[in-house]
Amino acid sequence: MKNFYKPSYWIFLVIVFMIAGCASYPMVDEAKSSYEEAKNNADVVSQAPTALKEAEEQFEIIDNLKKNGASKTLINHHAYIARQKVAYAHQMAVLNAKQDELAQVEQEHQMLVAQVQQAESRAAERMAERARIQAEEARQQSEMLANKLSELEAERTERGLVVNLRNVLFESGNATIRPGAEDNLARLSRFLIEYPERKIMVEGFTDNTGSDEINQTLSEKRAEAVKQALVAFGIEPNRIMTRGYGSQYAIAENNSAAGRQQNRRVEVVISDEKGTVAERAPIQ
Amino acid sequence: MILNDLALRTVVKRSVVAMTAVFFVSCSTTKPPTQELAQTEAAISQADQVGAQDYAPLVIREARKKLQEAKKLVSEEKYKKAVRVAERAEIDAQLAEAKALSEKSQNAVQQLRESIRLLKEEIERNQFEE
Repeated sequence: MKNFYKPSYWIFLVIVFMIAGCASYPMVDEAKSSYEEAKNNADVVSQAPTALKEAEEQFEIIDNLKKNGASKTLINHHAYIARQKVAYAHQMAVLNAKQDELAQVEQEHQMLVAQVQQAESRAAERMAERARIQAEEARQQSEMLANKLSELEAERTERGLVVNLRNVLFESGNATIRPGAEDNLARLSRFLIEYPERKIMVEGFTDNTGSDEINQTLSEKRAEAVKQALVAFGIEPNRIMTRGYGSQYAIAENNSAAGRQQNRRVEVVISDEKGTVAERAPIQ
Repeated sequence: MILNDLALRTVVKRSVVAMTAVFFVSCSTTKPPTQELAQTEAAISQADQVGAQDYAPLVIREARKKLQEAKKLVSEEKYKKAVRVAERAEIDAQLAEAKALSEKSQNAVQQLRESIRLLKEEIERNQFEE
């Protein structure tokens, strides 16, 4: 202890303390505090134990290096590794939490997708059922229409359905409907009431007795007479068009009384669902 | 603390032995650290595969920069230093990979949540129609 009093000894000691004091390692401290923080985080500890352990080992290395007076660069190297290991451990904990959440959300998503698919298939079934009912209704309606038309004794022609009101008879030169036609007209008006979208074209004809001018007027009057009869049954006048064709379009020979009676007639053309009736093509 | 000649001689002898040992140890690491570099490169490409370039660009960039530095050190035959830089690059790459994976999971969660929101809306609408 002789040199206790030597100045060189004191200088030596001061230098030692200075080095020790200066030798602070901010990177190590930083890494250490992030490590301590991670160690207190239960998620990190459970999700990334290896990374944490590796960080810890870095600190052991650092301690040894410090003891052996290793270079600051080397110590900082290990501090960097430690810090990144801790960051990695944190990230692994986050990743794990996210993957748990993802699994949960995926399950919910799948459930909802299944629910939507079910709802869609139910909707499709309902739609199919509705279509089936509609088709059935349409079929019934067309069957009903067919029945009504056969009651009216309508004939299908290229102009559409044509009803020859056979019981609507006229005296020669006269436009008054003779008794006995009521049933026929009532049936036609019932049809028109039931199918309000349909219109009719009433066409009057004459035999060939008399002049063309007179027959023209007479045929128009006969058509008009039928129209008025139908209006009397409650049909709106604007659903009934009338035409007169005189003695044209004869359906029987005019050389007998019976033939002429057949030609003094009224035909009714029933429109399609849209209310259109094809006009009679002029005679060539 | 006074050393006599004998002690001094012993110290000198031992130092010589120790230094020789150190010399040989350092000589034994004069091989280029190919394995370490390969390991680092593998870590980087693994991170790239999970989309680190998009999800953790800064960290993966750091890893690449360090790998380049390590290669440069190898070419300068500073192998020890190269190994340390490569080690730092490797842990950077691992961090980038973990970060990319968790970012991707987060995105997936968000997308699914959005999808769930839309599905719920649709279900509500359907119930309204029924």
